[in-house]
Amino acid sequence: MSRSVNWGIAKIQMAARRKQAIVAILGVTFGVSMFITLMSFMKGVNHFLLDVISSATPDIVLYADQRKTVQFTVPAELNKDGREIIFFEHGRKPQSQGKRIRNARTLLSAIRRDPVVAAVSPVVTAQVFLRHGSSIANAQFLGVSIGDAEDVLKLSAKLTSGNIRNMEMSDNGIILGKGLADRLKIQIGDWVNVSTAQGVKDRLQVCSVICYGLGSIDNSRAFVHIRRMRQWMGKGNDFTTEFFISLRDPELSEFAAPTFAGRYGYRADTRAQSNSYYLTIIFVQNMMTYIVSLAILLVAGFGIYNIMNMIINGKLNDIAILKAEGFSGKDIRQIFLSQSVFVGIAGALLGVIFGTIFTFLISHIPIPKSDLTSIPYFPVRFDPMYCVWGFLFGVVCSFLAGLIPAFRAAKMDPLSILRR
Amino acid sequence: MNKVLIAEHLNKYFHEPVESQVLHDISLSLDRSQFVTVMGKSGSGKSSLMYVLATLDTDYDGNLFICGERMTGLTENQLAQFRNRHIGFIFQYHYLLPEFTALQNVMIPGLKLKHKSSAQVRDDAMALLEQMQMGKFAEYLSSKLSGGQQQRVAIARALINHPDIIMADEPTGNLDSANTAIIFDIFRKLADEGNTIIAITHDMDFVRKADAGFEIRDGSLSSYIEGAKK
Ligand SMILES: Nc1ncnc2c1ncn2[C@@H]1O[C@H](COP(=O)(O)OP(=O)(O)OP(=O)(O)O)[C@@H](O)[C@H]1O
Ligand SMILES: [Mg+2]
Repeated sequence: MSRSVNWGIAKIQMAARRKQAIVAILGVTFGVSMFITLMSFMKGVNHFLLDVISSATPDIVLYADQRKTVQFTVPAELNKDGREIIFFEHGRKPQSQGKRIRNARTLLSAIRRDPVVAAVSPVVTAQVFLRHGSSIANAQFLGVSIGDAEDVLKLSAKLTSGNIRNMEMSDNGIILGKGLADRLKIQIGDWVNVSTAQGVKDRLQVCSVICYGLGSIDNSRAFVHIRRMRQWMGKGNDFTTEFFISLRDPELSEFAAPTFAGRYGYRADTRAQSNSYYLTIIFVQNMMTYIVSLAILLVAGFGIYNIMNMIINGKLNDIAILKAEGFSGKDIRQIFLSQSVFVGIAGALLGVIFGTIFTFLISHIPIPKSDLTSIPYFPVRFDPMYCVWGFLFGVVCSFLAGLIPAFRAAKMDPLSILRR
Repeated sequence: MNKVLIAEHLNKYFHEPVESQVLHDISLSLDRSQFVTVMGKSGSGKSSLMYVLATLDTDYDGNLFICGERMTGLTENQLAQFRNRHIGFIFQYHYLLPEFTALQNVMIPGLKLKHKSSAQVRDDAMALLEQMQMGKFAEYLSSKLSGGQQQRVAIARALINHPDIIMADEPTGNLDSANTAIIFDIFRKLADEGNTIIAITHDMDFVRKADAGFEIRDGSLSSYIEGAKK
């Protein structure tokens, strides 16, 4: 084969057109490095959001739909006395506190006994007004029994100060979201005034601060003892608005949720359903990342296409001479295609290096302090597979971009050039 | 059989811009070691004939044999290979690859042929350049050479694979009289060394140095001039 001759010619031609070659290479480098950086950044943000979601919400939330009439059944095998129980419940308007789940005690023990359930925590939710000194804030209170909540949500993993023990011991304790604590300028051990929608006033002592990293949760969420919430509302000690359920196998939540809903007659949302807002954001963000990466690679491809066309237009004489000397169309194609492939490989290699460097740099850019999030640096997840994909995309794009000009050169009739 | 080239009843037409016939029933044959010239007015069809004989143009009627092999009907790839091995072509204008040195230009057809190691091709190319008195310009970029120097490099390049036939389309058409004389002498010497040469020219001096001369008139090989030499 005359491949080595063709490659030698390609090399010398490229060396003679160094500037154009470098521009083409840098185009690919830009595309590939941006691809790697964007992918790492996208994965980092995804991972961060998914982590927040999975620690802030349980596998399944069981709650009373605020609008429609519900009917629920506790099957005979889950009841102590072996009878099936059917409940009816009529809808009311939404209000500032969650709607009551009837016969929560029976339901709780039934759910607890369900073999797929790992832990369950009864919850009472309400909007509560907080005041500390001159600072005020509105918060979403989750009344929980701390032990159960710890089992379902692993609160202790997200506490930034204080510990779960103090909260369990204290009758007046409250765990504040970090954003709330900052807004109220409050410290561990300080007392905070609360007032409910019904006008009940109370004082609670801050036992811990919890931080998920996402402003929309940290700025509003607070945990208190469920019995305290029931007292404020004047309800009995089985008053419950939601059940937070964690499964032995979280992967099963999509199947378990409809089963629970059907069996108990309340709405059961999986984590994905309760967080559809964030999942939509993640989806849109992923699409954007793919589109932008693809667009950048496409632009780099067009750059190579243009430059190869330019080079070939300036090389018509050479093509005619080479063909007269005995180079076939295939040889000519090889000569020009190997230039594109070289540009692709060189550009992609540089792109992998720069992409890795950019990714590293981004992971060290501090995020300016804001209400949105409290993580210190941009979240980035670097995966060597992105380098592999970026490299392949770069080389394949360059190859494809060089294909048309190379075929054009191969088909060029030497006579049309010699006759001029 | 000692005929290097046989052309039988070549007819060539152009369809654009108007239907016209450039070659009219041309037949000719070339013996080994023969040096012939083709004369003719501008536009008479000299180049057209040369491109057909050089196998660069396949759009003709008639038959063409080179070294006993039938060229008519071969594929483009087969023709390219054949040209590489058997034909040395010298152009009027399109001399050399500008980004390559004189030496590289001469070596490329030899490397393409792959009959010799690249070191050997290099030695042969160097020897040919010396023979053309271009030895000391071997490492010059060909774009940095004068027209006459470039044409001498082009002749060296045409010779690198020891072709059976050398074809030249007005090899001196672009040169001053001093350079023209140098090129003529080279051709004469090549002919004396036993090369088969067909050269297009306007120059009567050149014609007189050849073994034989044809003249093309309006696409017909109309007359035959005995060279002064033989
Ligand atoms: N591609 C083409 N399409 C149509 N007609 C052409 C084409 N090329 C050449 N011709 C015509 O064919 C005729 C012969 O052209 P050719 O180039 O062979 O002449 P020539 O003898 O080499 O002339 P010159 O001495 O100027 O080089 C001319 O009349 C020319 O106009
Ligand atoms: Mg001509």
